[in-house]
Amino acid sequence: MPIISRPAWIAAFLVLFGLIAMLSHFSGTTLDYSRYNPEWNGTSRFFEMIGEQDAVTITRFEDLPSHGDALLLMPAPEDEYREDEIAHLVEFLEGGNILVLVSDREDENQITSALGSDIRIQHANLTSIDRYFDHPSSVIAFPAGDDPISAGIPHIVLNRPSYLLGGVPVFESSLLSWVDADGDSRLGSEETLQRYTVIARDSVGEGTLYVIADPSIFINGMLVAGPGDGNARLADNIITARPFLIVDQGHSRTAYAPEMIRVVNLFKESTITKMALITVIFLAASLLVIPWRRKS
Amino acid sequence: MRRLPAVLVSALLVIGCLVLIGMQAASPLLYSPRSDPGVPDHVNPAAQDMVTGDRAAQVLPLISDLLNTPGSLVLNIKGSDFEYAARDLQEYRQISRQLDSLVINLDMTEGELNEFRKANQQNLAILTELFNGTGRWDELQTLEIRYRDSGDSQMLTSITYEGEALRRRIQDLYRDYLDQDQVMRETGEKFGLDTSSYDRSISDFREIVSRIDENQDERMVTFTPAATPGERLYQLTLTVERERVSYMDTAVIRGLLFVHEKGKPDEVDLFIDSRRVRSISTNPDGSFSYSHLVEHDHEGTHTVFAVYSGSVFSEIRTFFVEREDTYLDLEPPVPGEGRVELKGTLMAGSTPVRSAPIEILADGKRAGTTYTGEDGKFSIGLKLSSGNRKVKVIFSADTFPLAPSESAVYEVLIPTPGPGTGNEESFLASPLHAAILAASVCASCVIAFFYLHRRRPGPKAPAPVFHLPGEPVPDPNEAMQEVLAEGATPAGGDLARPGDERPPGVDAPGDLPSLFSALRLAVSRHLAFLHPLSLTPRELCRISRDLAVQEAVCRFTNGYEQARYSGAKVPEDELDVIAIAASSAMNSLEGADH
Repeated sequence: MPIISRPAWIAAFLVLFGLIAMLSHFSGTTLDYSRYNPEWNGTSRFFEMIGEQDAVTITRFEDLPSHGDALLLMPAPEDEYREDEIAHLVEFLEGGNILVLVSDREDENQITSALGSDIRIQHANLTSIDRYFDHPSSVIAFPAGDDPISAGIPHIVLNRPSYLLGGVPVFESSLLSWVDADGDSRLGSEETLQRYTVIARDSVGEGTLYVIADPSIFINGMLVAGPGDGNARLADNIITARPFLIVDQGHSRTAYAPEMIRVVNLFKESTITKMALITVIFLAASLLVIPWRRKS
Repeated sequence: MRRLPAVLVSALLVIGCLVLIGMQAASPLLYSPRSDPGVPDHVNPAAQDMVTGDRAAQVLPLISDLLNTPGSLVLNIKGSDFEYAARDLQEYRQISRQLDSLVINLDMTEGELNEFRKANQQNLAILTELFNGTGRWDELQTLEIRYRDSGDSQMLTSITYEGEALRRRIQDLYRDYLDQDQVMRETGEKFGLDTSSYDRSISDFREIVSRIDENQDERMVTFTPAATPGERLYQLTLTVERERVSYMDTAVIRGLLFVHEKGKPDEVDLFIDSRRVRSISTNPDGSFSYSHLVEHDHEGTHTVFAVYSGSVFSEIRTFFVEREDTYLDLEPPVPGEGRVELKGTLMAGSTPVRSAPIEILADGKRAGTTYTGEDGKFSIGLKLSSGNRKVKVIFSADTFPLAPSESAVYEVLIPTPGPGTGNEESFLASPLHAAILAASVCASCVIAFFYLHRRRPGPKAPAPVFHLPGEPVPDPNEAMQEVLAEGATPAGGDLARPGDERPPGVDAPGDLPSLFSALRLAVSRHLAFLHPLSLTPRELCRISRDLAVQEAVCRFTNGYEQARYSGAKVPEDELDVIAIAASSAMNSLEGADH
């Protein structure tokens, strides 16, 4: 039997380690909000929670069900919505379902107004004395009344949020909050203290529209932030609010990923591709081992 | 030569690693949350410190207390319960201090909360003065009864005059208290707090003012100047030339004393707000004058009267100090390394404000204080941390009849101080760093010294070279070169010295290592094995399996292992057997080779 020298073992180990590192590298990204981003600014943990609920991801709203036991989550949308898409959303809501729109951009007011809601997102530099981190925009928000998604949550922590006008407040900032118009992170003489709504709900037909004015609360770094894990409990309350959870990945920044990552994650997520990969690995190993045994 | 590519690849990898390390040498920290503070949409929570405490839970109860305490305080003053009022005032002072600290800690030195704090500070000063004034008023009431009973008209006059000054002052305090009402009430209502206690304090204050007003009116009605019939009402008259004055104006007070001895100067005491300000010498005709410079008088009505010889009183005159607006001009700041130079001027209209405190705020926080000169100008050099800083100066006008003012805000880029010259110390400026550096250099030198003077092993002895009978004896140097070229240590143990011509085996049966070396070389040569020195006894036996001499070789290696490694002493006859086996094997190989 030939003796395999120590350098050969080390080389093999290094090559294996390099391959694992390369695969790990290619299966992740640092894109903001990306579900494939395991860093602080990604949403990989949130999507793990969603995955545990057997959620369905959709890219087209034609696939939305009409029965009234579903919740559609639209995290960090970016693209514009066509009229037919909004018509599907209206139909979905009127069927008694829940739509949760998570955005801090005023562009999404196009959706809320088209849905017939009076909730409007106001993109502003919301700042508060009540903060969890030593940063002015680390605003703590408190439940503003009884609502299923705020049940059992003492407060949530926001991260550079906008605020909302209209609708029924579900979470509000404390009274010591203001819009920092001059950007100096301090309360100025022209800036007034008041409560700002950061999560609001509105009834559309038989359904309910929730608007959350800060998609950052679901990034990895924020999901466990705050005493009592308020953000994680909020996420849990949302994704378990209805038996059927649907997540929009057609317009969401959470779906962003380079093509290479898509391919790698296709292998990671699909059982068939996993089986194929394992087969290939065993085949390659046998091709290596058999001649070696013959030689020895 | 076959190793050259491997050496080149290794060298390239090493150089690559060194380059990568070198790129990070200036900043050895590869990653830190602090180096990744955030993106436009969110800040990195890991890069932030956590804030302890529920701040709103601290602020709101304080504001509530500050709205409630004046109600209780003014009520106790109205009821002349000064013991409880003193306790309330102490409590009010403590709560106010807590709010001041909190506003500074929360960096809210501007905005609504700060407006509330300022109004509350005013209220605290007003109520403190009200507490002292009403206390004195009650004393005057007692004294009045005593002096009235004893018929001491001079002291009654004195009390009446002081009472008049107090009345005017308390009226001014009430007016100032009403000025704070809007801010206090609006803040309370905005924060959803109960303001009824504060409202009650205003009505109680009004009642105190009304009561003092009535009492003083009664006192003035019953007050009769100490004059005999047929004489003029006042033996000492007084006039104030300007009844409304403002900052740095002069209130000229003139008087005439009728009861003095003709041609002889006399002394008259002048009182402003019941406080003696000066003794004035009269002219030979009894006239006198005094110019009062309005500089640190509070805004409002001030009473003036004069007393001659402790018994002759003038009538009461008043003048009113008006508040004037100020203008605080700050020149563009001049930044330096870790500091900034500020210059400016404080003016009240066209009049410079002298000896006025000017506070410097950097990013809203108090960074220093300076005072204006006689010309109203000020200049100061301040140390500031590097970076962009928003700088302004403010004049709070606490002891002036002036309105507060503040300058424009300037954004200043403070450069980082050079190494060793500013706040940040250079590497060697720290004694600890210098000591660590010196210790590491010394340790390196010591280690290098011992390394260079370590005991070095002598040159490796070459393996004995077996040469068959009839062959020329190889040059010992060649044998050495061969061993060095192999670069290995003999596995068999001791080596014969080069040039040892002793025949193997039979001649020296006890020198088994030499026999083993010779046999190993012979077998290797026969089998063309390239690395004879790497063979162990068992490997030697194993590679000889196809040879005719395998039995002899293996017998020798077995005996050799037993003799060499078992530790037991081998009998001489067995040594002979082993040596014979080696000799026989070598002879057979010799025959085969030839």
